[in-house]
Amino acid sequence: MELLTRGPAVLRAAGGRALRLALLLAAVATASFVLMVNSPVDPVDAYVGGDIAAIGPDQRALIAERWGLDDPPLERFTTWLGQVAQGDLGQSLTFNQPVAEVIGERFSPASP
Amino acid sequence: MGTACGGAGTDSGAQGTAPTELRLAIGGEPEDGYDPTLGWGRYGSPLFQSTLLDRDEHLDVVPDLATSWSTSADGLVWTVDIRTDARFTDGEPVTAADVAYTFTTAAESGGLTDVTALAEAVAVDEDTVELRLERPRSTFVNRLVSLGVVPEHAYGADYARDPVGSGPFRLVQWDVIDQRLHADAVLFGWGSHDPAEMYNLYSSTRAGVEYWNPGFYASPRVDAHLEAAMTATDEATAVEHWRAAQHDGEGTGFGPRGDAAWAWLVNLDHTYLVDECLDLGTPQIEPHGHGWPVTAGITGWQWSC
Repeated sequence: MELLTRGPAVLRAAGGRALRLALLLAAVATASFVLMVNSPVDPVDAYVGGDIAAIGPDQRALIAERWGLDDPPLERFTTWLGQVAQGDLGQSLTFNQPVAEVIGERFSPASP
Repeated sequence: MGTACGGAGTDSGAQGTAPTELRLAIGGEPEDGYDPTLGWGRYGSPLFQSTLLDRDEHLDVVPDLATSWSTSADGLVWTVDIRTDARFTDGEPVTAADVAYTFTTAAESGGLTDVTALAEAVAVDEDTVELRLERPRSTFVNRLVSLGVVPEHAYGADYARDPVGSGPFRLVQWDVIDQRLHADAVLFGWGSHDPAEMYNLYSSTRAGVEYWNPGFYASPRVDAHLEAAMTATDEATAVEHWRAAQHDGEGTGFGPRGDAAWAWLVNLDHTYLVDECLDLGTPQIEPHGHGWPVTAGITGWQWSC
C-alpha cells in the first residue's frame, strides 16, 4: 500500500528536479552566451595574441569566418542549441577535438 | 613557445649504456595540437613535419624538402623542386601534390599561419610545385621556411592530435600535461602558488591526488641518497644524505651545483623538493593570479649557499 502511494511521489519529485535542472542549464547557457557576445575582448585578437604582426587582415577575416563570428548572434546561438539538442556538443576550437571528448577525458582517471 | 633544454643522460650511475632517450622540458604545449596548417611550427622546426626550406645557423635560407627554388621575374610564381626520397612516417613518399595540398589547406584554414598571399598551389609534376601568389611578396619565403608539409592521404579532422609527417621526430604518444595540472613547474609556475606553497601542497599525496610529471629529473644516485635520508635513524645521517642528494661532490644532484641545471624546484618522482640553498626572501601577496611566473611573488629570491 505504501509503495503504491510513494512510487508516484518519488517520480514526481525526480521529474521536478529534472525540469529545474533543464531550466537552470538553459539559463546558464543563455547568460554565458550573452556575456560572451558583449565581451569587450575581441576573440580574434585573443586567439592571435603575440602573433599580431604576422597575421594580416585577410587571415583575421578567415579566422572570424571559421569561427562563424560573422553570423548574427541569435543564429549562432540557435545553431548551437539545435546541435546540442541532437546530442552534438560540437568541436572545440581550443583543443581541435570534439567537445564531448574533451569533457570525457577530464572524467577519466589520470593514468601514470 | 618558450623552450628550455634539460640535460640528457642524467643516469650517471649507469655504466656502459649509451643514452637512447633525449628528454626536453618544453614550456607548455600547443593545446590545439600539431597541425601546421593551423599554425603549429609557425616559428620554424615543426618537429614532426618537414618544411620546404630551412634556416641555417646564420639565418640564411637553405633547402630542406626542396632541392631548388626560384621566383619568376614578376615575383608572382615560386617554383620549388622537392627531393624524391623523403617519406612520411607511414612510409608513403612526400610528393609535390602533398606540398600543394598543404599550402592550399593553410591558405583557407583560418589558423595562426598567414598564407593568404597564395592564389593557388599546383603540383606541375611528381616533384615540382608552383606557388602562385596574388601579388609579389618577398616575405612569402617565411612560409616556405615554416609551413610543415602534411600528407594529403592522412590528413583529416584528427590530424592535429595524431600528426603524420616527414620531420625528424614522430609523435608516439601525447600525454597532455595540462590534465595533470601543470606544465613546466620551474619555468612557468602554477599561477598563484609560490614554490613554498607548492611544496606544502604537492609534496605528498595528501591532497588525495598524485600530481606527477614523469621524467623531469631522474638519477639513481640521487634516488639512493633520498632513500637513505628518509630511512635514516638519526638526524645527522639524514642531513648528510639530504645534502648529497642536492650535490654529491661529483657533479650529480638536484641542487644548483648538481646536474639538473633547471633545478630550482625540482620534481623527483611525485615529490617536489625545494633546494635548501634557496632563500625565498619575503614573499609578496600581490600580484596574485593565474599565469604569473612562479617567481612573481618572490622577486627577492636568491641562492644562499
